[in-house]
Amino acid sequence: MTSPKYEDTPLTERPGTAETTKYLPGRALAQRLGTRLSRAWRSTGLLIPLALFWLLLAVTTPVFFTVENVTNLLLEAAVVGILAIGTTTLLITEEIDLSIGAVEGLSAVAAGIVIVNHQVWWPLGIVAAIGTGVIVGCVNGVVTTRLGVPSFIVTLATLGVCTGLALQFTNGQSIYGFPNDFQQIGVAGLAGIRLPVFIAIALLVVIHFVLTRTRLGLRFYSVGGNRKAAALVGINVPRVKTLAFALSGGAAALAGVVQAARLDSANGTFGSGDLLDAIAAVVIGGTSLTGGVGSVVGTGLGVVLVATIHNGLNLWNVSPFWQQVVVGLIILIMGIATSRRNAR
Amino acid sequence: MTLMVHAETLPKLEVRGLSKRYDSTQALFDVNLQFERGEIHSLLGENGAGKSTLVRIITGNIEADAGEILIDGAALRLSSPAVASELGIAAVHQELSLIPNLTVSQNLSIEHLPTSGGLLGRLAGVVDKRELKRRTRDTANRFREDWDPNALVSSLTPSQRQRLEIGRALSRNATLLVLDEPTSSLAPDDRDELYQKLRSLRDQGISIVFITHNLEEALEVSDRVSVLRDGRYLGSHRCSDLTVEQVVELMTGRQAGILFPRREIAVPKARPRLSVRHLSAAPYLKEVSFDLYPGEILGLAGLVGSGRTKILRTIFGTLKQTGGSIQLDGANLDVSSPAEAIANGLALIPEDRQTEGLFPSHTVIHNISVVAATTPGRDRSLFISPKRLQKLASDMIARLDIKVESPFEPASKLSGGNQQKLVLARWLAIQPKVLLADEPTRGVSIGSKVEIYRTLREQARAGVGIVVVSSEFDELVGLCDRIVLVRDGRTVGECTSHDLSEDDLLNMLLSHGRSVVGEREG
Repeated sequence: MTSPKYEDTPLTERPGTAETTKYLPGRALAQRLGTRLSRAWRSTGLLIPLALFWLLLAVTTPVFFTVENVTNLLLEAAVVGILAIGTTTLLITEEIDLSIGAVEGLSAVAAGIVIVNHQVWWPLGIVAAIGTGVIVGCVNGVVTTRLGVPSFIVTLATLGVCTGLALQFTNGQSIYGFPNDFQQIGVAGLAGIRLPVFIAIALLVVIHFVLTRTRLGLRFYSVGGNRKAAALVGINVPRVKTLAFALSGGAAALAGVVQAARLDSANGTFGSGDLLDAIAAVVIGGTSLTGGVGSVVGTGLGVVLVATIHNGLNLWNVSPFWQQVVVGLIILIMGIATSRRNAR
Repeated sequence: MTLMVHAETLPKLEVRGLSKRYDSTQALFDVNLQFERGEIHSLLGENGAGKSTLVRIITGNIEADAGEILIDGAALRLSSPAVASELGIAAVHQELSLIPNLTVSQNLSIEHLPTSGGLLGRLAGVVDKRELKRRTRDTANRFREDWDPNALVSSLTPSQRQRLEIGRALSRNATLLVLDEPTSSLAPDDRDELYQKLRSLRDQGISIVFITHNLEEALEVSDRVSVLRDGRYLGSHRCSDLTVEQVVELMTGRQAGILFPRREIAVPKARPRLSVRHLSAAPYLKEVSFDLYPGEILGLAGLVGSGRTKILRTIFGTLKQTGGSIQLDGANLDVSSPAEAIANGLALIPEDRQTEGLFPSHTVIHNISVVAATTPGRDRSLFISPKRLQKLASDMIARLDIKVESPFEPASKLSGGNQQKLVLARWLAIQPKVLLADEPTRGVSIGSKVEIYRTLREQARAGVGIVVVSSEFDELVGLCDRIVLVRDGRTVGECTSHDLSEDDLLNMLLSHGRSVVGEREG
């Protein structure tokens, strides 16, 4: 006997089925456009604050929109940009490289020793420098992936080692007197835009293509999106990550070469301030610190924004120390914004 | 006199006209439901039917747009989980919330740890260990548990953890307990133990709201079930009046009895597709031998820990093979990584979709095309064509009836069943020879289950050999052509699944296993 307290609904009585969400090609197309736009916004949304900032600087300082200043700004952006592109790729695989600034310095010193001290043909010096960076990157990668040490620790250690070695080899002095041809890498230009800017843009285009249109690029994203799942779909996770570390090290070395050519000087402390700027640019550009998400296009805009901040604050006579404070705070704000977005 | 209604005759909790809308979906529509005092009451419905929305409302996590909630006959507003908890409503969620590196005592009292006496102790927040232990003993006595207060939670078995979780939820004098999929990680024996626990709590007058995808379990353990579909309440029924088929029919609105696709009459036993002989993987697998024929769905049946998953993992190259041989289409197969396994035509659907299968932040397209896009294809090209991947994804979405808003949305937004279809689809895209499916329908709604079964059978008909590991015996019996029994890392027998009941299977598993182990050791 059923309890009198409630009435059981007969099995035959059923309300109509509500409409369920189904996949419709037409709707998908519209949404695809929407997603495209919102994605484009995610990486190019930076253009608006950037434009406003430029406008403000143009109004408040007479110097900002001179050829010389813009050339300088882009040149600064180029060096940080080369570093940041490597960092973006690595962050996509859910790893981080704190040694990029130190590698930049060590590679510049390597170039200096080979080219200036040993009077070797300068292109070989470049090979030596980039080789140094790639080797350090591979060491970072192998120790991280094969021995299971967190990349934060590994690259903190190589940061110390690289800076120490660079200073030891040069006795803490700068190496200068690079041949003129080598210096052209940093000085040559076209229509007021210097070669390093072209190098950075070329690197950005190549890496963007790799990330979006190649199997390797999808492996980078997959490894960062879910390491275990990536392994089970046949991706060699340690190898892919090590490759990203090597790329990060190689990019840092390239930045060191450009810096040495530009300043006709190689010094172990070259890149010490660049780590902060590079990571700031990457997070401003929308790359996730938790892996699997990011783009070098966003990073490119982030780099220009960071360079503009430095440039603008210089023009406003703000001390470089305050500039560091500002960049640090921007990283913090972007971090907070990202974690709030993820929480939703 | 009519006003003198005794509290005992009122429902413990009643909802009236409850509605809730999220952006574009009506999650609940005019739901009227009563949870009686001292009953076990299962909420049934497919994913998206509104069960979790209802639970989130009665546990104070969200508020309804319309309708009211009555507790012991009084209309109350449950504005936060704290308020709900104050009113005696406790919830245990699917993801256990215990902290593994703390002790049983610490976990039990984590929300309000006792501080030792004196001003200094209170100011510094020094934990009173004696009081902590006393509370643990009290709670243990109340629920007839024999907890070791100092044991680390990480050292407990899944079922002990589950009971500790329930104990903690009830330790603050809760009278209504909500359990979300409490048995999904438990072995059959442990499940029975939990059911008994729940029945004894019920007899103490506690109301239990039970959410499960396992319908047989719902009917076995509950007094009544209520069915939701598309946010609407379809009525409550006494379990004694119901069969699983009727419940499926209610939940899905379609004719039951078509859960499993028709089996092939007889699988032509040509050359085996996969032939496993004396396979071992120390220390997990000792002696595993079976054949898998093309066009066949073979089940691996065993209790939790018997090594079923390890067998799949060894074949797929993620677990090191230490002996024996595996042959694929008559040729020796020696793989040491998933990449090699995939190159040889093997595919694996992992046991844990969330941690090992899905790329949650990535698009549906990426989740479907990841294998096709990252493993070098026939063209050997380094490059990928986004157009081609999109085409692949939309083909799969149509073929498996995957419900997505857009192929560009992140996989994390999909329901469990649709997520599982993504994992299945990525393998269909590369047309494997052998598909190893580990718990292919765990935590998946009935509708998606039917779709997954149909797809697996379709693949088998196309000549793929399929190995299914499942803890649900009805699934093994209903879906598979043959079943191999696994115990303690050994294959101990096999049977065809025609005319086999689930009880037969369990009996064979227990008796077979014992006698064979006995023989070997004797």
